[in-house]
Amino acid sequence: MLPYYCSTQPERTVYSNLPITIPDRNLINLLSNLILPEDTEGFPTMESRLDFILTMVNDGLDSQEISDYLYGMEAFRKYVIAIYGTSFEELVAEDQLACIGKTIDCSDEKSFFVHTIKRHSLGHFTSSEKYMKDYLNFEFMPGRYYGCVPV
Amino acid sequence: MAGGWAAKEFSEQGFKTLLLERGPNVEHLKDYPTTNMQPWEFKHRGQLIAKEISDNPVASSCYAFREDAKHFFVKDKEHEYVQKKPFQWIRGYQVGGKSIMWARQVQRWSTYDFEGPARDGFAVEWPIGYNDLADWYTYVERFVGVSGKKDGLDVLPDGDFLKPWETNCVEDYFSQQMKLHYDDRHVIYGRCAHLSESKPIFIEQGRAVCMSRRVCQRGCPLGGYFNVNSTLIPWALKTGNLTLRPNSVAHSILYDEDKQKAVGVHVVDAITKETTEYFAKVIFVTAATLNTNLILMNSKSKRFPNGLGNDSGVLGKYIAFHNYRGVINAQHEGHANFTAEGAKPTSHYIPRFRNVYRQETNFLRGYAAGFGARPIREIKSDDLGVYLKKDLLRTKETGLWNVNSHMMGETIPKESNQVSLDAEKVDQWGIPQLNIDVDYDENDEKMLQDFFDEFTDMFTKAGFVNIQTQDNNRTPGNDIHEMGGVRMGKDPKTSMLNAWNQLHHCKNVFVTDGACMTSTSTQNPSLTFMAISARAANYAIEQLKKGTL
Repeated sequence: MLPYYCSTQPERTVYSNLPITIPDRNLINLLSNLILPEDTEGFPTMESRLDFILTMVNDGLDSQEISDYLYGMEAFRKYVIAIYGTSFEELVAEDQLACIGKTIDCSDEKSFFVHTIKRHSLGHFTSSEKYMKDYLNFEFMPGRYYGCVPV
Repeated sequence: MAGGWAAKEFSEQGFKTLLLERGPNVEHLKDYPTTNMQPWEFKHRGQLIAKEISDNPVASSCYAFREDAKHFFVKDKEHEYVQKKPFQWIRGYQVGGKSIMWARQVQRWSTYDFEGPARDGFAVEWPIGYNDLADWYTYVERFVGVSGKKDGLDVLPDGDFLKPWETNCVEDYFSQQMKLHYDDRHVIYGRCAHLSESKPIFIEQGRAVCMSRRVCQRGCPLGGYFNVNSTLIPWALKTGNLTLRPNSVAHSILYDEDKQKAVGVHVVDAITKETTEYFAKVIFVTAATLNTNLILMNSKSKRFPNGLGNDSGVLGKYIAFHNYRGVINAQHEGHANFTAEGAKPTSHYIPRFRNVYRQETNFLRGYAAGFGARPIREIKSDDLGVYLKKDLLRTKETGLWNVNSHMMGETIPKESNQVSLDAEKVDQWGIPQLNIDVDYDENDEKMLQDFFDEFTDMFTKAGFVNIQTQDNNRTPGNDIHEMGGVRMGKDPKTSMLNAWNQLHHCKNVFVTDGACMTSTSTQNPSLTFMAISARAANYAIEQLKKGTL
């Protein structure tokens, strides 16, 4: 297995505005699953969580925001190495979560990176069919309205 | 809508009718590509992508320009115009126009609305009043299908209503509180163009009862709300008298100097750019307010060098709109043990209460307002990992209700708010671009402050908490209620149209869309456009039968 920094070529994907490598994708996927564990069986979706996040970053952010996002990713990596002396991927799960907790509320570029992942992870989960129907009581064709229902 | 009504009336009464539409056809059921998509099926979950926003600063400013309905809106580059002052011209170029994406609120005007200009000394006197339109409102409502409650208010006359949806306990509470504290503030059910029940006329149209899907802007496979595509067009086509010609950009109206009347329309094919002339005895110009102005201004002849029928020089002037800048939000703690279930396609409405019977404020006219109340569901999302997931799965009703209101203010038509043909720029069909010079004035600012003051008082009296007002700084045009420029009036020296919506100086040309409006009042205007159109079309039909047109 090669360490992530040996893969320097941007991956050829459908995310044409987002020049990221396979290790970049893996980091985003890892962060997303730590922030909110993906549950593909319990809450199935049409696309994978990672695909959704990358799509929303690729399409939803303008060029400056994408630059900030990529810069934030590198800043996050450097921050982890500076604080923990190793890469994020090699941290134990407890430290990984603690690291996310420390960075997400800062108002800097690495926070933007992590926060964007959290926002789209939440968006993907809460817009799943199962969550919308079972937890938000979403109905596509309710056909009725009761305005005063005892809780 | 105005054009759809004219087409229906003429073809239904046996007249061969040509309906020109500058955009493509949108056939009911067939051309609603997103109508049955679930929220989780949209690639961006309903959001716009960055490029769509940057490419369309005007279109994307509209609340309904989202992933599910963006295909029904004109993209900024497709039809450019000149903004002398910022103006967000929201357009829908297709058969059915904006009736596919409209907000479906249909409140009648009252006597007090029509008498505004004459009583308060602005614009010109309306040549018609409520009594001239009352029966036509009924006529239109019976075909459209309007859910409403009879409230018995002189400021907002009742119509021919289908049954209302249920109201919720906070809407009822606020309504009762306002009755306790005020004599003049009525919080009523918002009358909406939705089928809450079936009737033979709607079955004949092929429409079913509204299921409250709340995605009307995509087009409704049930025909549960009124749009032109599911009602007027198929109804008119069924007669065999209507020819529908999409992709036909009206360049100008042809005027015959010898006959001293309009004889047809010069059309540019939207795709091939080929030009064609169509001829008719009677022409209804209903291109939606500003494009109607544009067509008339571009219809120049020896007799009318400044635009068709424009002897008075008022064509393009006295444009007005609705001031939607005021928003107020709060919370209600008083019905913690109740919630709402299901959905309904409307909210509540507060008719104008300022300056109705007499002038009583330091600004002219007034505002109506919407009112909504929804239970708040809590979704905690601060945590991380398994704790975050647990929080998300513990989502629940909080017992609190969000309440909100937004103002719908009348703006005063004035000469300085105007549109004109740009001297240099032309569009891709060789037609001068429209130059729009429209803005708010001091009256609008005073009215906005009054809305904040009065609604803060009203919300406080109702016991609502966390009251917050907001000026959303909406740009003119974003209300999508632009009106005027070809106004009706009694005097040909100061107006373009007579009481039957005929051009004073070219009687076989009628204008019945928003361009004809002498003033704007506060109500969502589409119902009034429809009633005016049906009335004018039937007048034109009578005159044709008599041989006077």
